[in-house]
Amino acid sequence: MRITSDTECAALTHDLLKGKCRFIANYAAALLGCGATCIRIEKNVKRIAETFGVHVDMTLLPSHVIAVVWDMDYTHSYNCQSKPIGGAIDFSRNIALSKLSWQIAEDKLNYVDAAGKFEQILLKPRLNKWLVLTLTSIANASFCRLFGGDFNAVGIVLFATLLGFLVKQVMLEDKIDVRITTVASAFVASVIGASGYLFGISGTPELALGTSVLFLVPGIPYINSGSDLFAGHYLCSMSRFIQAVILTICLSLGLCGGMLLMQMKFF
Amino acid sequence: MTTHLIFTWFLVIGFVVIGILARCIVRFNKTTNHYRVVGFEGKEDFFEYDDDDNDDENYK
Repeated sequence: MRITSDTECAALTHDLLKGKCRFIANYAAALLGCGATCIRIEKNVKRIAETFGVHVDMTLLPSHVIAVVWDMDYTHSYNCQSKPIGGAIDFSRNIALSKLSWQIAEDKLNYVDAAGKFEQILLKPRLNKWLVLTLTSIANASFCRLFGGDFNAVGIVLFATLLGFLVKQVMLEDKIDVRITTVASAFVASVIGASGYLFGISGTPELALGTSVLFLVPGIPYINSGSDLFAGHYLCSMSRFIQAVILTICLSLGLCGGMLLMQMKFF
Repeated sequence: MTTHLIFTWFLVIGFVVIGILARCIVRFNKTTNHYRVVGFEGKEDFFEYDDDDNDDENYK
């Protein structure tokens, strides 16, 4: 097709920039949604933008990504805003998206092909929930053993995590607020964790109780908050920190509720 | 006092386990009905398929 006028040329440039900008904004939003740090998002987007032959100015906010894409001469631009895609931390998606950025850079993919691969990554199902439940329970029980708990305490923690995490999964599937979910899950886990005291079946009941709620500690938001702080993304850092603190408070409320119900002394 | 606490412990566990089981049963029933409806629609489409397309006259 021959371009006959400046207007058509401008329209073509506009469409190209639009496609690239939409892809970049959605890509950054997907990374933000699956729990990537801001510095990783910036690096990956820069890599993609260099391959696409555009300049990107990006603003990362806790609940939005704003991308402005310029052509190489800074004569045309396109602005796009996107909300985080996903909403739950997913490292397999995080890795797949990072690999996609490398694939775009190395294979010189255009934005249409890249968008196709991006859609495939988004459609990929999460890890099986029963496998996650089993692995989380074993991991939390291992923590109890690492801290010096006996095997009865390990068994108690395994059962507490199994039921507590199941409650969390069920409530989150039913779209119940994550804070209420955390309180309920911590409550159930702590009541089961107290069975070492109640039935006298463990020599280290305090470890069983203490480690029974460890699976609810929001470790990744805390780490990401620190990473964003060092990278200079103070808004995202504070947002993640406050989110993690709120979840920790909810965890504590559930734990205190369980201990009160089981009439245990705090000190 | 201990008996009272043990009763409370079993009450909490029982409530959680029964709640989760009840939810699983409700969801399983919903899923089964859903597939039944889809399956029926699929059959219905199959029976309404027009055989004229396979008629030898169409290929003459």
